[in-house]
Amino acid sequence: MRPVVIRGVGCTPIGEHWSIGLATLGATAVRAALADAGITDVDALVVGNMLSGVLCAQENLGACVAERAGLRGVEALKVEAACASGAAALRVGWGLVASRACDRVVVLGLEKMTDAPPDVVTQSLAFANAERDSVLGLTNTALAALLTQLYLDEHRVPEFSLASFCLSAYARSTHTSWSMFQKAVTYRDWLDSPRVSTPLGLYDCPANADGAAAVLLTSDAQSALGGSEPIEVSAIVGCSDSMSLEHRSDMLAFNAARRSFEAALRAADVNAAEVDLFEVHDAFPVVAALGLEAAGYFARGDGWRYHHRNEVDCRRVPVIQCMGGLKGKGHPVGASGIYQVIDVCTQLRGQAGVNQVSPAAIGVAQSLGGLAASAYTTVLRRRCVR
Amino acid sequence: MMGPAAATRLQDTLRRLSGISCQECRHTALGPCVACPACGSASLVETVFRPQGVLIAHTTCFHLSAPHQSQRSRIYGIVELTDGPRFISEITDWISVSLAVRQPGVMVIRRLFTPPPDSVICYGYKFRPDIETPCL
Repeated sequence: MRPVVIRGVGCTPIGEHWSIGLATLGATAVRAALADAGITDVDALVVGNMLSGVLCAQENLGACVAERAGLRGVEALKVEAACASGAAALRVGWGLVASRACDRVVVLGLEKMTDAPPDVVTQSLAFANAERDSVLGLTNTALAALLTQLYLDEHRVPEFSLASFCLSAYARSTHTSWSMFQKAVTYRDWLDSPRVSTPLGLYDCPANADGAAAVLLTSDAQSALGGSEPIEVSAIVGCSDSMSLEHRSDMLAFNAARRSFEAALRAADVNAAEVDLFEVHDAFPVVAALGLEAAGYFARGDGWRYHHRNEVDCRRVPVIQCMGGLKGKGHPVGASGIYQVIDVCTQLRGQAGVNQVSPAAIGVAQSLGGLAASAYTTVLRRRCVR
Repeated sequence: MMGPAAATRLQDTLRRLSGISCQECRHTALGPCVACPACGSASLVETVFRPQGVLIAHTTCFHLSAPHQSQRSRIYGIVELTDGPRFISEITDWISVSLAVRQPGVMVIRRLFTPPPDSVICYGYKFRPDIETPCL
């Protein structure tokens, strides 16, 4: 395998893009990534997407976006792994370049959720385990709420303590130009928000949104060609776990997240304490807490203490939600994995403005699908540092 | 919406607590499996579990998906069966019952949702808290 770098990034703002169709939205991000890299041609386009067939009645998404982006003729395909679809597409694109099958691959995360009525979107998100969940009417949020309740009860965690994940996400998203929410949320807002599925309120749940984010992958040798500062993709590893929470021997342990995190850091030859940024999958507060525990930064049952970490014995903990996380930025499910990577690249390039974390040399993005039934961990490193 | 084929296929899964017991690792699980979810063994015995269990977590969901959105809210719970496996189910007949963790109860069959006139009526399991028995 040869080294792979990200040479260009580009994305649309996350939000309700009612005036733009699915393919045009994706093509806009692809063209932005190509412009950032300073090139016009690629060998392949890999699209990460979860719901285009259900919500937009559009499949064969690779060819569809390639034509719209002016890349007709290139190999183009779609990859799906629920909310981790974007990260799974990155894994495929990384493999194409690392294995020398291609020299330049553009990876696009794309989702258009606001074209369909909300109850249909909710049903579609439950398709992560359709034969059981959709028949019973179980929603993704209801499952996360059950997991939250279990977490609060088993670890005797006060309900209000999970608010900190939301408040910090919204505080950072106000300084991120592509985020959906540009207004900070107060603790009072959080307390007064309507319940979606107890104990989860409106601000605990990620917003359905439209969005497209793209990165251009090239081999290490091609990074000398110019364009923006290349960011090394040191490793990307995917793992899976049981789709059904109740089939897991321990519902409060994200085993796929743990295995992919450990394997990715091992492959990148990085120690967890060296990581400066960790884009944890914070779709729900309990998922962020369990993600931090799976990464080994906190002991079992202590992940919720991230914002009170001085009070507990834990490793050097990286900054999370560095540009607002999934909650503050919005969560266009199949695109979020690539938005996370762009967040980290922006930080590593030193272009994050008010949100800039210093030092920022090594960043990790972890994308989870189906309450961690799929987990992808990407290690990104600024070159010529350390 | 569920068609006749899916309704026929799922009727056993949704109306009985059927699943597997692994002969290698003793893991038990609900639902159809061709290999043990815990150890991957194909040495499985089909098992119908007893319907008694306890509620270990519950949530009141106010945003329901199609085709269930005619209801304003629903309560779902994670139930741990006396025989070991856990399952997630709607909680039914709970009015006037104050739900609590470790609340015992039993699986019952109910209509899952009100279908459109041209669709199959779908029945399946729900969990009914037992108000006569104190929390375990």
